[in-house]
Amino acid sequence: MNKIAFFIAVILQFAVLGSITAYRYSVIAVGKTVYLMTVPVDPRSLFQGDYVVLDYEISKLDSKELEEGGKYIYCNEGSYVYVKLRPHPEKKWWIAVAITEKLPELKENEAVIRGKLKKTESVSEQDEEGKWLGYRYIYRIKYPIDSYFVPEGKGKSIEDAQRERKEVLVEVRLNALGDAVITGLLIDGVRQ
Amino acid sequence: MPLDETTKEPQGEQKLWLEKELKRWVEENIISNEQAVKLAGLYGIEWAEQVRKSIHNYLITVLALIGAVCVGIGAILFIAANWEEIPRFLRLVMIFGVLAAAYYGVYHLNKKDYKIASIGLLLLCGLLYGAAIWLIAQIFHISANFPLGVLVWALGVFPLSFVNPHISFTLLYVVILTIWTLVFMGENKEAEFFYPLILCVTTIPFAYRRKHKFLLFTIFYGLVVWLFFMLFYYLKYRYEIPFLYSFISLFFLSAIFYLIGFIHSISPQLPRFFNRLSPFADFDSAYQRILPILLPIFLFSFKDIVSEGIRDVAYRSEMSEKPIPLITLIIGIIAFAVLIKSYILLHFSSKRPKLASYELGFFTFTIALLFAFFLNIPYFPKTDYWRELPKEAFPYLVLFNLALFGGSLFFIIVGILKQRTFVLATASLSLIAAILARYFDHFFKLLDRSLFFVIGGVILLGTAFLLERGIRRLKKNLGEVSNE
Repeated sequence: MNKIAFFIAVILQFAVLGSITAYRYSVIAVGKTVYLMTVPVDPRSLFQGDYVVLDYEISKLDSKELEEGGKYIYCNEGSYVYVKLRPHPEKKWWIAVAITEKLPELKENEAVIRGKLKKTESVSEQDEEGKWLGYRYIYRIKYPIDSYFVPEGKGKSIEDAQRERKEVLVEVRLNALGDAVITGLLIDGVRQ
Repeated sequence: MPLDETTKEPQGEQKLWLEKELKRWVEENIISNEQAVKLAGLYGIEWAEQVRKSIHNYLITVLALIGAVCVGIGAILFIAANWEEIPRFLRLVMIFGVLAAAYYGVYHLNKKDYKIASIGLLLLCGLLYGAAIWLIAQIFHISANFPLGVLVWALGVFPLSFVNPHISFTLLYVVILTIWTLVFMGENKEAEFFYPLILCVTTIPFAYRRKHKFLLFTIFYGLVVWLFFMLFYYLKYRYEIPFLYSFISLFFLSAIFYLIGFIHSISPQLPRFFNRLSPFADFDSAYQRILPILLPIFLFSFKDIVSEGIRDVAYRSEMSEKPIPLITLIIGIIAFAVLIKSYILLHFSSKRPKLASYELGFFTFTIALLFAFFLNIPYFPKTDYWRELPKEAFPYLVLFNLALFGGSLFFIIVGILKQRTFVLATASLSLIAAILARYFDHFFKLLDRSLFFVIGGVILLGTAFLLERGIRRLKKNLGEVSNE
């Protein structure tokens, strides 16, 4: 056995595992807490027990519904986008107000989440008389918080809650760079 | 005693003399048993007793290793499914603690000169490191489709190749790296072009320096698997080609490739222009090409893949004119032609390797099956749901499964009888993968996963134990007989 290589390999593996852990802890420690509305389904991961696949309200955005609007973003394979979030005026969860290709500047009550743009669709708009009004854009975005792991067998109860149109929210911590870590799941305000 | 010039192999009396000498050299400890087996193989000598002994030892080791890994997987699954109750920090301490303890064990065993045990434990460390990544991902709810996690696992395992010269570490690295490229393509629905570069740069120097054919073929296997899936994603999403046709074409190509090796083995007089690509062209490597043969059959043994593939073709037929996969048809006809040529040559050949006609029988069955399926695809009715299999396609699914299980078992026998450890390993893996796949298809809800792996692992370990005991008893009896 090559002892130097042995110690390098061990240190490398522990450094990798340590850095994954430390980074997530740092996001949890300094990140802003936001709540996101979900639409889950329930497959299963072989080596990780049960998990719920999460789809969010902010996974499909319409430039017309965004407060700050949105321009056409060319969807390069794997390109990142930043979605600016603000609290819903009446509900507990947060809503998207803008989509940008670069990290946006944030105000006190705002947060940003980074996602991968999967598709941009352009929809031509006309008024009742057929006059062209311009384009609106539909963005489909995938966030790296699409899995929520639960003890085996519990995934179905979350799926059922969703089907019964209960309010299923995910509690997420977001740092200033838009990195996200899930810290909890709430059904009708009750932490699971 | 000059060798026969045409075959370069000893004949008749020469063979008997060499066999006798080999036995004497082993008894007098001039050469090891393994060296004798290799020499016997080189000169075409059937040396049943020694061959059986060596292959039994190999089987026991393989069974014990797979059994241990299964028990390990079962334990990880059990923890993963039930550890929500444990606080996050404690879970992390457990993960880091177990990995650190395992590495200490390696260090300790190595110090005490337990070389084989330390290799086994170091291999387990590589697996534990991957489990640690996955458990940490679970703690922080990192996406279940986590290609970067697999890449980080592969790159963390790679340095183990420098720790111990044993080939298993590099092999584990190749396997994980291959899983990464597949997960990446599946997740992003796009072709991944870096894999061959990373694979070749990191492993070819090892294979070259150690002159390790087994490793070279594993790299080749990795590239074949990558090519399959790359073509699948690249053709499907870029050029809208039904993936069933690309898999069928690749099966026909693999069959042609295998059968050319077969032809060379029975007709050494043929121009051996393929030898220029040595070591990829010789007869040994023909046997080592079984993965490209078994892989498409394995894919076709999944109900969901077949039903989705059929629906994919039906959908495209509705959208445009029926696609005519002329290339697949041509390659299929060539595969048939090479198969017929193989039969003709085998009939007239003076050299008839063991099981040769069964081998051709297997290829006749699979090529005919794939060809019939290929011609039938456009005529299956379109289903409403992607997981719904048209009832007309059901017999094909059964036959694909028959080919997979039968083929795996057949190549295990080939591996044992011809003492090709590579074939034995690949076919054993194929059989295990087939059993696992069918378990997850049909018995998922019936038997707990962790329990399944633990029971499976214990059965394998028990088999290894019984085999070893049986061989010891046999040896003892033989000893008694010779003493009498």
